[in-house]
Amino acid sequence: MYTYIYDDFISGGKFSKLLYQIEKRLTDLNLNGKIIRLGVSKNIKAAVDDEIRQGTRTIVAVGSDKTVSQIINYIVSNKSDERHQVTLGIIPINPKENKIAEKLGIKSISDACEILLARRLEIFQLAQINQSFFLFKAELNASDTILEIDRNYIIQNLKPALVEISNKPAVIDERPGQKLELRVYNKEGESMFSFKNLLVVNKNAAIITDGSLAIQPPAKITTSREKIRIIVGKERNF
Amino acid sequence: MFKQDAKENYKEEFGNAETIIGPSVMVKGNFNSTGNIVINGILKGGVKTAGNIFIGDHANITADLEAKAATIGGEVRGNLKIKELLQVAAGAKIIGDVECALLSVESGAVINGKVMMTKDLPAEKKEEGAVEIEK
Repeated sequence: MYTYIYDDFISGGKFSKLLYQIEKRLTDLNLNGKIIRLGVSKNIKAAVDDEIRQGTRTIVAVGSDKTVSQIINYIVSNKSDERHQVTLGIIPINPKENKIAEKLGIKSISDACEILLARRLEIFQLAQINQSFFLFKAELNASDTILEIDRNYIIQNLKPALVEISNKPAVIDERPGQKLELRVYNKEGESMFSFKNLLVVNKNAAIITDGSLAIQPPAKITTSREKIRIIVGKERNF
Repeated sequence: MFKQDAKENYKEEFGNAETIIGPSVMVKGNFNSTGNIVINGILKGGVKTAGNIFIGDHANITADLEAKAATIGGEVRGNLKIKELLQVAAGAKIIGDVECALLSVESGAVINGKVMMTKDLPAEKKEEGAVEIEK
């Protein structure tokens, strides 16, 4: 059973033709299912929790990176055992706002429908930032950022810098030694560190996870045991 | 010649560096690693790695260093304990005691401190041009 969660930004008339085409294609592929349209009366957390409680096995995020990130967070944060049975699918509405889908090899809407049909599954180990989770990347572009790694040492940027934290999430085997990678870019060059625990302090700027969700520092970023199963394309690039 | 060798050494040994401290970045604290480390910024504290350390021309280090091998181009204030080869480039300045198995120093480099050679390096690791000083 598939449940399609349409983000509220696609509920306007602008996307109606596109949604009609998607629904027609999904029906042709025998992938039609329940559609939930987010809006004032239905928020994304309630939609995810309801679907998990009702035993839905595949939730498809129809929208942007933000839609995907939010659904991942609400699946992982759900307390019930049923959440472990849930698989996430993605239909990217606008390629410019769907970098996660692109990385997972889902480059267009027509690709997405075929990929749902092929159902190639991959399990991803998430990284944790405060009480939230991210799949690929967290970044902060600001001056005066202080970074503390594994409580052993502090990194100070003497010039404005882009701080990028990468999770290499595909689970090949369950390695307890999973580490995250920190890269710091400034005009003069690049720095690179690996870590298990990172504290990010900056009073002036937010950390953006997976290009969509804003987290206000101070933020603790760690490896996590949480995993999510996602339907991916053949040409995934991570 | 030394500079050329150092560059080649950098490419071979540090292309797969686990840690890079870049320019305009300052690291304070104790730094333990198992891989290769490249430092082109500022470091205050201590560094211990089972791999190699490359310290660039503009790096400024106030720390004790322990590594398998090291190439020093910038300024180091602290003691160095290197299991194998220590290469010191022309512009380098070391203020501290040095302990290593093999030592190569380019003309113009400054070492202010005791130099002690250890002798437990396997013979095949010795490189042409490296200096071995009897204790």
